[in-house]
Amino acid sequence: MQIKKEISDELQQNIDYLEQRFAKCADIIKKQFSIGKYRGYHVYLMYTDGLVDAVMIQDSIIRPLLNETLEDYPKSVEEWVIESADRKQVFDMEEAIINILAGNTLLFFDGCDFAIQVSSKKFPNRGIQSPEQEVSIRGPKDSFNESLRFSTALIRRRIRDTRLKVEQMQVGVRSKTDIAILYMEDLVHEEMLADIKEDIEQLCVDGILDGGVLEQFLEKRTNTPFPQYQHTERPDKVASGLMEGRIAIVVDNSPGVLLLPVTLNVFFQAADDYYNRWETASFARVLRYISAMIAIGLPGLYIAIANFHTEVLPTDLILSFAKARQGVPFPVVVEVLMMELAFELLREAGIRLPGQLGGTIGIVGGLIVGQAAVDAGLVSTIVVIVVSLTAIASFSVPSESFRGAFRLLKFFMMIVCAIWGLYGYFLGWLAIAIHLCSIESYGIPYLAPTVHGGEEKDYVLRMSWKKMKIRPSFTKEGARRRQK
Amino acid sequence: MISNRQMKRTLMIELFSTTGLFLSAMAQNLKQLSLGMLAAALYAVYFLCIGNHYQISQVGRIRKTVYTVRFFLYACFLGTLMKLLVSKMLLGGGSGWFIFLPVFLLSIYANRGGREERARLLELLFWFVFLPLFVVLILAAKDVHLEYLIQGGFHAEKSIQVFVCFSSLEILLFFTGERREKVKALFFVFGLNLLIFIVTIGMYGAKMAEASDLPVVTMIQMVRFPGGFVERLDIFMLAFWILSLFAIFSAYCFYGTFFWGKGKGSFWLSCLFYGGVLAIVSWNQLDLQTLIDFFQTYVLWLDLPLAVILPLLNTKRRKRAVVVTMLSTLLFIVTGCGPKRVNIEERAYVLAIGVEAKEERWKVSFFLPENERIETEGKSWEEIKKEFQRSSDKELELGHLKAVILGKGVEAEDFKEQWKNEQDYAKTVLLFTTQEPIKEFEKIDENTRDSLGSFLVELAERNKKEITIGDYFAGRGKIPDLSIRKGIPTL
Repeated sequence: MQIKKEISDELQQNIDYLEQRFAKCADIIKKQFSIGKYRGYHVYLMYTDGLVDAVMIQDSIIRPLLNETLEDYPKSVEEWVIESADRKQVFDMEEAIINILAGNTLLFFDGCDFAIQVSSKKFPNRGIQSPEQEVSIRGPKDSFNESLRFSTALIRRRIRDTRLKVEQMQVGVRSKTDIAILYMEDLVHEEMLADIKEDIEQLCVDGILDGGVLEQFLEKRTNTPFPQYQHTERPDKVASGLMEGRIAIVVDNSPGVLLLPVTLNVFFQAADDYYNRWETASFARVLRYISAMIAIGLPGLYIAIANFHTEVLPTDLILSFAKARQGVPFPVVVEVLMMELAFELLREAGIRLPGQLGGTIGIVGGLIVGQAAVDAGLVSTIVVIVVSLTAIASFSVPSESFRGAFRLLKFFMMIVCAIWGLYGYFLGWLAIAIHLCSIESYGIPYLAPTVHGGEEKDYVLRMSWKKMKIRPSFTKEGARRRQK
Repeated sequence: MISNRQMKRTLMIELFSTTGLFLSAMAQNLKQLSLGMLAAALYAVYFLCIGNHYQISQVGRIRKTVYTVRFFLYACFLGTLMKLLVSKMLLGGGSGWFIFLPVFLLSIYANRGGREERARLLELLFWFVFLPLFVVLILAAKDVHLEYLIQGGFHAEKSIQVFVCFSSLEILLFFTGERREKVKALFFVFGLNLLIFIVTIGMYGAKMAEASDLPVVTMIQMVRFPGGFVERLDIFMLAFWILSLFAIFSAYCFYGTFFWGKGKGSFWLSCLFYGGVLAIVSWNQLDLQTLIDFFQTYVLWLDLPLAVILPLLNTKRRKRAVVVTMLSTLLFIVTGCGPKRVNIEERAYVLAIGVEAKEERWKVSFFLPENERIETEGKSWEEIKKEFQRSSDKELELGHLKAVILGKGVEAEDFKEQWKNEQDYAKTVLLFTTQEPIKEFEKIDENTRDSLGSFLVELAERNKKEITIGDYFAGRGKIPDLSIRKGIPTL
């Protein structure tokens, strides 16, 4: 527990206290200077090495202080000597310490019961790069990075409106992670905003190291594989979401932004859906919905048909399937489960291996080992096709966190189909539907607008921009119209 | 709160599923149907009139108990119906409780979230239930003969049976939304039922209704999907219909318990309700016809009068109604009682069957792919199937059967008697007679390089002599006769 301590007007007291708090912290730079015409005043400067712009400190803080005569001390240091617009007085020692650790420079003066905080942040970052997970053919190619300020700047660049509000707070007892909540003041549901702020304020954890951790702390339901926040690395997606009345949460050190509330539909939307013609975009979306069904249900459907209901397929096809399985030593269920697990293994290995090796493992695993397994009679060709098609289908959905749900549900469907055949297949989908109907995201049903009504021009089909005149139900009542 | 759209769709699914299934089994022509539906319409008006002023959650304990018991019986009936349908059409060989268990657990899961979540689910299911049905009706409509719909006279008994099918109209009491939306839902349900009746009876007439417990199912089995990718559409259709039966089953479970409010007492009551449903559905041994007869009598003489009288005995007691459901520990016993699972390559795909009779014994030849032929004998079809399994290392699979040839000494009526309860084959299997020895058909593969089944299908198609088993059972068409010329079957 921290004891609240005021900054003393005795410089030595402040120095002693800070030395004690920052003992054995080699990355903290502490320096005492004598300033003024006769070098009669003393100043104690502190900052964190590596998080600051050292040149700026030298040019705008240290040099003016050393060169000025400071005849009107301390008014001169408060008001004109330090050459930075972003400075303020700090009276609380704890606030001063947090700011030092956040990359600001703090100056403690002789005879002053306050410190001057100068913004000198310059974090190491990897610059603005292209998105890796949400690639688009058309549209902007920039993505968020780990710096909170860069991320908010990328959003502000797209919405130059004073009604875009950025509220900042810190979360984490030890990490003191900066979090920014962005919203459009006139579009957001006030209760929803108050709800999310309250949830964040009530968090009492050691640290938030990524948006993913915050997401899991904030989600209302933990017993579901479906994500309740949309994670995106694209600023254009966030800007678009904000203009639909949604709330964005930017977490420092996280290269993505969380958007809420969510519905199932938003996970099928890709950024370039809105930059391409509506016919093409709608076709792509329909494909994504179908591929989601394939990704979850195809292996199970194959098991159900092969084990229970061969009569649903044409005779020639079923005979060819039967021929392909001749000599395979395992039952269909085991064969499909084995192949699906092998594929998940390959996917996991591909992600963990460094860049080029990751691609190689895909080729080696998918082509060479797959072909060898067929040749050796371990699996049939049709199962290889089923597993490959399932994998391709799962990758066509734009959201990675949403795809994670498919991976689990696929196995659930396989199990129910192995037990109950096609009857199980339909009941499996029914179970998923019941589950989805029970999820809400800050008062919005997860399956909206299918089960809640509302704007359907940007749903399975995306209508032309001219027809999308109404914002979705994320926007508060009375502010739904976005075009005249 | 549930929206008007949710209320409308919920009503449509809940009111449609059982009526649609049974109407064509009850009435044989439009006269019988229309009178029954008129009575049902009046019954609906009665509930519409009292609906918004009468809340079951406000009535006294005795009436609540009566409602719970009645809905418990409905839930048992619907659960048993689903069990029998799945067992007969989808999962032959599975034990009753094993088939019913997933539906039972899902209904607890669906009801646990209360009325709003149920409404969302049914709003979602709406398209999955009705869209495939409309596709089937459109595909079947081309075979409708309107004259079948007016054949036969008027029987009051049949019209009463039609009226009984609409007993679920009582659930209108549970919806307090706009009356106009309820009326729209009723129009949809009555209209769709009428359409299904027209298509079902219009396809094969009253004989179809007599030959089957559920003529709608037979109608679905007769429909062929264009393109040929899906050989048996009926299995998918039945699965969709089971979704709608699930909706009404879970509705009765929900309505039977929710008005008792929260608390320990209502929790144990819910456990008793659900546990009782599981026990009765799992272990009753009723067959479909007995179940329907039994329930029809109960509804007509006891349930319907109660449904009418109960709302008239009003009280002002008020209690909040909440769903209390929890039963979940049964899944661990799932292992070992399932239907028979047979791998794809371990099946003997029968493409054609030839039947001959001699001295009250049937000699049946099963024609399999790649010139394989298995011959068995027996007094009944069941005995023949058992005999087949004794002589083959593969499981008999009739799902791909294309044609049946009735040879010397076989009476078509005897065949019908033997096969009417067989569900593994499609009703679209072609039927032929022949005076040639069945053995002669064995040479077909050598002569045509095609399987006998596929050859006969194409032959009948070219000569426009396609009489299916469904046609024959419905008393339509004359069975074409096959002869052998130069080693090749000809019509």
